[in-house]
Amino acid sequence: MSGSAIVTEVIVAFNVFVLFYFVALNSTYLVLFVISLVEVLKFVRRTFFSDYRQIMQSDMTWPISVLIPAHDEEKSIVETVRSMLMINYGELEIIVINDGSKDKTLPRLIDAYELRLMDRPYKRVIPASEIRAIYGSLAHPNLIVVDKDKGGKADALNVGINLARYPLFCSIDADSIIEDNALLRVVKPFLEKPVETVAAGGIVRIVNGCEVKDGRVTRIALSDRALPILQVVEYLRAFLTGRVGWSNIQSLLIISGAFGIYKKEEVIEVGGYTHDTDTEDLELVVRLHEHMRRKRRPYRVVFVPDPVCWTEAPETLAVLSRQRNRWHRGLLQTLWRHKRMLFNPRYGAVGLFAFPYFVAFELLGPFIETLGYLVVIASYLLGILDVHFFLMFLAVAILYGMFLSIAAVLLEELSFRRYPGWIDLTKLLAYSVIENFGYRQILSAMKVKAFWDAIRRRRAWGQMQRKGFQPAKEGTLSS
Amino acid sequence: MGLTKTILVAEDDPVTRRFVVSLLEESGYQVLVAEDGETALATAIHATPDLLVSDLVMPYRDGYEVLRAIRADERLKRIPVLILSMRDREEDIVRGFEQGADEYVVKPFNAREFLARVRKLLEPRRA
Amino acid sequence: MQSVLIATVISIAALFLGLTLLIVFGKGWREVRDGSRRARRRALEPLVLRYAHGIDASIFSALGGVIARRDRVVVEEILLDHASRVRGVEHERLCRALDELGFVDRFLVRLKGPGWWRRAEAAEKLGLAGAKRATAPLAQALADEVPEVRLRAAKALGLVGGRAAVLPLVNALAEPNRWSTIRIADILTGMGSGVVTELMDAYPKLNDHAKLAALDIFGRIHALAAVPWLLPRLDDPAGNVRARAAHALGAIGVVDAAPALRKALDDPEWPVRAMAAKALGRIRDTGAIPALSAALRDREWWVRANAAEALRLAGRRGWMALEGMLDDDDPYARHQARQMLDLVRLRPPEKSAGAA
Repeated sequence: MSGSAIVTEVIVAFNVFVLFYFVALNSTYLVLFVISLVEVLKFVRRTFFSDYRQIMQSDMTWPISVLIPAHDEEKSIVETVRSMLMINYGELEIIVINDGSKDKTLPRLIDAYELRLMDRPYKRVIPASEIRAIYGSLAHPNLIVVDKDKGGKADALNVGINLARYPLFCSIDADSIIEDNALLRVVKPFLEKPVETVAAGGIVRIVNGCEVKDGRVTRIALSDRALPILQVVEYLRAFLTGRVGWSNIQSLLIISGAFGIYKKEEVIEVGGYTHDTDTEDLELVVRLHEHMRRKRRPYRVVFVPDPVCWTEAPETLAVLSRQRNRWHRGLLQTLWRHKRMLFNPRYGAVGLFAFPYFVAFELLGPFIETLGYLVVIASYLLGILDVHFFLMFLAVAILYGMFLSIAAVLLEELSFRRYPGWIDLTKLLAYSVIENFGYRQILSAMKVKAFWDAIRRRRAWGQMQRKGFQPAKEGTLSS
Repeated sequence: MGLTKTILVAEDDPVTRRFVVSLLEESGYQVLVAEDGETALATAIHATPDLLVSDLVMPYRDGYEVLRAIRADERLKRIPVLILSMRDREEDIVRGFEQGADEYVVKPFNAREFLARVRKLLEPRRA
Repeated sequence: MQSVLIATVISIAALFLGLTLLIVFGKGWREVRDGSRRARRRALEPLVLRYAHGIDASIFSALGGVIARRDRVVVEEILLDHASRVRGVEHERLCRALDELGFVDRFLVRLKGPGWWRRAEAAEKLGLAGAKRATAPLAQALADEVPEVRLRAAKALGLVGGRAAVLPLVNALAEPNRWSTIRIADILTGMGSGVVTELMDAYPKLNDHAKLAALDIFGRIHALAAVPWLLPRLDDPAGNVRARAAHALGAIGVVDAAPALRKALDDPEWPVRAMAAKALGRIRDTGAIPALSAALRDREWWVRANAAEALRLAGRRGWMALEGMLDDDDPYARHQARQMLDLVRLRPPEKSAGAA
């Protein structure tokens, strides 16, 4: 065979591979969607005359320590704390950890809530950096503010865990808005199976375009700008059709850092948060899975689609790419750190389903996708591929994807219907089509870049260690 | 105004609100309605009702805040307040009275008893 | 290749369009239906309320005769919504309306039907409707295979009340499933003092979990009648029974229990000591102050913490005892006393019985 013929064979083979990759990818999404559909419908049927009132009243409901790590949040911290104080829940303590803010975060808190220094016992159960002071509030006896030097989010959370009194803790981002009944809803799995449940997460929704007053969302609407709407569709897909499915087969790896609730005892058992990944929340959950499976203890990590945490989404590509870069780096670091779980039957569904999925579709996937698009289009233009194959590729990559995006919107309409207006529905439908023409491809490209960034950083860290540098704290290296 | 007493009902649950409003109106009172703490305060300042029936858990400002604000205002501090709330724990009830409530009725509530308490609060103070 | 392509594209496109149409039409239909339901609710709710307040003698006259089929769903919802929020005469009237209009019968039928969510819904509604004649069917539903149905049947029995409802619930307490024990205990607690006799009778037959739950229930419903029965439990061979009994006695808050609780402060097992200290705090027994001060030297943190809290609650004499412990030989005692006094100084002064 001639040289060019071999090259052509290879290219055609690669094209076929890319085709099957997309079929596999989208079919996996389809399976997750079907599982999620059944589960969400069951869930909606279940909560009829909801018993949230009873949960709130019951003495049996576990009290929660809410941890809010804050770094330079002077603009929103007072409001965030106020909205947390108003939350519907029986017994709550709110711990704000001021992570070495250089702005007026702490003074504003001291002013707004009449904080005084207090001598609360602090035991370093999880190794964490020193704290400077602990403040209590006369007006709100369940509010505590800890002042410490900057150490990064993971370190701040560990300090919070050390200080927390209650058996459950909830980690919340300082700039998120938690809905009134969210805690009542997210704590339900712990009431149903108190021994087994170790962590639960709720849904994160995008607040861009909504009206916010006094720390609560008064009117839900979609933004006017394209990028936030694209993210709304993406989140619906990721949460409603993704996480519900994973949770159902007991391999939920991701609980949002913005809104997750954990059993303090188990988290202390695994050593708290670590600060050597960029996404400490993901790493913690994976570590919980690993630990519990290794110890062969029955446990569950649950996603509850009901409770909502509203968070602000990036409105420009620049900010979005930084965010996704960090998420993807964190994912890769976590996968690498726990690589022994891959295909390992000892780790059950997590090792046999979730890990391979992430490695195939999140780690390798972006490369295959990005390269695939380029190669297929080039092949077609160069005449190597025939029209039918090219159209097939488009059908499988784009059309199939569109179908799944719309399926997510359907799921939303069948269950929670947070966007009641017709205009918003039309926007959602339109953007679920548009999402597949460019947005997802751009995200893939960002993930490829993130992969190289992750590798470079490891090398950089390795070099610094060899030169005898102290590994810098999390905060300084990441963007 | 005249002899008809005005009652301000602050309650965020629409069903309870409708029930209480119809109950009070059938008993001959004039009823003003607020769905959250902030509206309740604004309405109280504007209309100076003869009685406030308030829930504790409400958006924008909870019942305790409304109570504190009313007790701190010269014009409003004499308005009797009846708390109508689901919270039935000892500490909640004690706190309600400590913050200045005159009556505390726990939900689910008995309508006849509720009316009796309302009537008592609207009587002119004994000398 | 071509046929495969066409088939793929057509099937995906068809699914896609199908879903879109499903969403759009579903939403449209739902909006129309909800809109008309809201309108009917606005029209009918005041009438139902007139009946509930006693202005109209019967639901039929209030609603103007027979109810149209399409209105039945709305009327059911109105009746259930309000029945769940009131007690007393108005509640009885609403429940009677639910019965007279045939809703209760329908719920009873659905309680035995297929479809677990229908059974669960029926059970729940029977509870809200306070349907006494549903007590036996609901007790049977406690054995349903689907947990959600069992739970709602239990909650319904809690709402329906009466002795016939307490008995099956107390028996359910003996179920090994830990989750339902907690929920059943919750429900029994909500039923008030009527459960006391049944619980005391059934206690010997209960398993360990359920026994602890029963003791908890006595405490939470402040069962004064159970105090003479509880006191001997402080001598039970099982440590956790003694601890729970101590906790319950504290929750009931009766001074007669103080001597027995003071004795329990010397129990060999620390949970018992901790609960005894806590109970003495709630009873505010000044006679226990010396024993509580000694308990500040206990090896276990919970005991020390509860003892310190109890001293705080005992008013001025308790505070003086705490101050006295500030220079005690035992480092734990000193630390605990210090912490409690610091906490006390942070809070505004409490109006407690022992204070000057």
